[in-house]
Amino acid sequence: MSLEELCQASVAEVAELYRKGEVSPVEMTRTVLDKIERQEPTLNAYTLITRERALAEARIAEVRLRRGEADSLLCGIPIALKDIFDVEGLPMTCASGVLKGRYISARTATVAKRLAATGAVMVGKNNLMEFAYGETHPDFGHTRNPWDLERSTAGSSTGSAATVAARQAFAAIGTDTGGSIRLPAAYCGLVGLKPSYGLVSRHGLAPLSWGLDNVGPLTRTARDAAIVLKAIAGYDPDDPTSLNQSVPDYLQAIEGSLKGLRVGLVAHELTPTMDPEVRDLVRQAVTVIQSLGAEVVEVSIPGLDQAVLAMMTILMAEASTYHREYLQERPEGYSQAVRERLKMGALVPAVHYLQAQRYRATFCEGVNRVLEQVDVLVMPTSPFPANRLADEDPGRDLTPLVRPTAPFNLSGHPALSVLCGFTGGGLPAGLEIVGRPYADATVLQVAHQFQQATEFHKRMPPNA
Amino acid sequence: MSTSNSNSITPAEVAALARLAGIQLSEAEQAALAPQIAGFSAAVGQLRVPLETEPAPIFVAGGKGASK
Repeated sequence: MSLEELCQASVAEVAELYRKGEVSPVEMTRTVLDKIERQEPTLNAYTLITRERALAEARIAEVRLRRGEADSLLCGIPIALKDIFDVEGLPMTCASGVLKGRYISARTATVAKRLAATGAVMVGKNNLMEFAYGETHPDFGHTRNPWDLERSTAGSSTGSAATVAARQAFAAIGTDTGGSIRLPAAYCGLVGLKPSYGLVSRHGLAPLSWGLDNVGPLTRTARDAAIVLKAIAGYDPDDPTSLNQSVPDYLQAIEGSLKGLRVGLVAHELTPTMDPEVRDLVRQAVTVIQSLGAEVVEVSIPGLDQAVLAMMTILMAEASTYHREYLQERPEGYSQAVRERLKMGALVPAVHYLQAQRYRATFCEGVNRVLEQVDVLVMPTSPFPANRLADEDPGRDLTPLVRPTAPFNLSGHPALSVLCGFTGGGLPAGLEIVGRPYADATVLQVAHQFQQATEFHKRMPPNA
Repeated sequence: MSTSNSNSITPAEVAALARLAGIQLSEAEQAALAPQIAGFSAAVGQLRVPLETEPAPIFVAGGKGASK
């Protein structure tokens, strides 16, 4: 198999070839960088490609592997980072004119430090929606979906999803405040995990909303997501929300059988207005999970509609608080749509914010009550496949898009999207799996067992 | 804050809110935001919770150094 063909492999497969000395991390990284640079004019997935830095990291990884000092499967694996994380000495733009050309990081985000410690090779920083706030800044432009270049990757982790789907990077790190990992994963045919709130450090992340932001992996397989999560999860004293508890062995946990697992199908989310092909694919995926020994029951989640509103209220108020000084000093740096959103958010009264936080408390209790009856919830990640970029109006209402995902940012539960099939037009669809608080291993397990029983994740996009 | 009725907010009221928040708005922005804020406020007014409910902590994981 050529190095170019090896770009299709999983992290685990490449790590095994490294271990045997059959493939060089330096040559693999060079192949990945060449592929990125060749495809970048088409996909626009990067704000920065760190070729020399990556090759230097790959040479160090190669020595570690040769000496038997690699203690993670990520050693020598090319990965990418959303350009919303600090990496000391590198520019961070957040894909906004506010920071473009003005900001060089003086610190490194904890997630980047942890990945570097494994020997993972950072090939660049990914394009995104401006400050992860649902709109593309015209200076940075849309990232294009490798499954159909005329279609959206969803957001906000646009480049992170595109680069993994296009078989460039083997994994990417995104952020998810209302669905920004899971929705791009669904649109681009990947696994995207929003971990339990507090499991992965947010230190060094330019926040969108302190209480809703999560950091997590986008990968092609659930096993790869487990490998990345193992590397980045765990207590960080630099993040005041970080949970102080041991990190389980996700790789071992995902091998468990689904026999006896209780799965709650959130049937009211299979609406008549959703795309019928996506609805059928989700139902078929649930049937597969059932065939693996899980017991499937239909459940409902109380207050889902209002959960999105509460989440948006918190998001608007917190985003506008963070951006207050930039908005006063550099308003021209924002795209018009994000600037308007930030201005609107600055006018959210304190009583609304606190009412949303009160609603959050009751909503969390409601979800937890449902999760006392079942081990996981399943539902569509998005009611629709990827939309045409030409149909995206700046300033549009994002509520319908984030309805299946945002409630679990509000509640903090772990939630994952896994590719569950393709429409007749060849567009991916995602199944969302939601688990109990800190049961991230269980959602990874369901996704992994589903992938072991299906072949969807092996299909290549036409623009890879 | 006074409004002409419970479901509407005038551009002048938006301007006053913006001044309090330290945000500069053009007259066109005031006019555009007024119905959006009115609609948003009406929607948030529908968020119902039991009276005794306290706000969730801003950081739901339990705070610095918290253990599960």
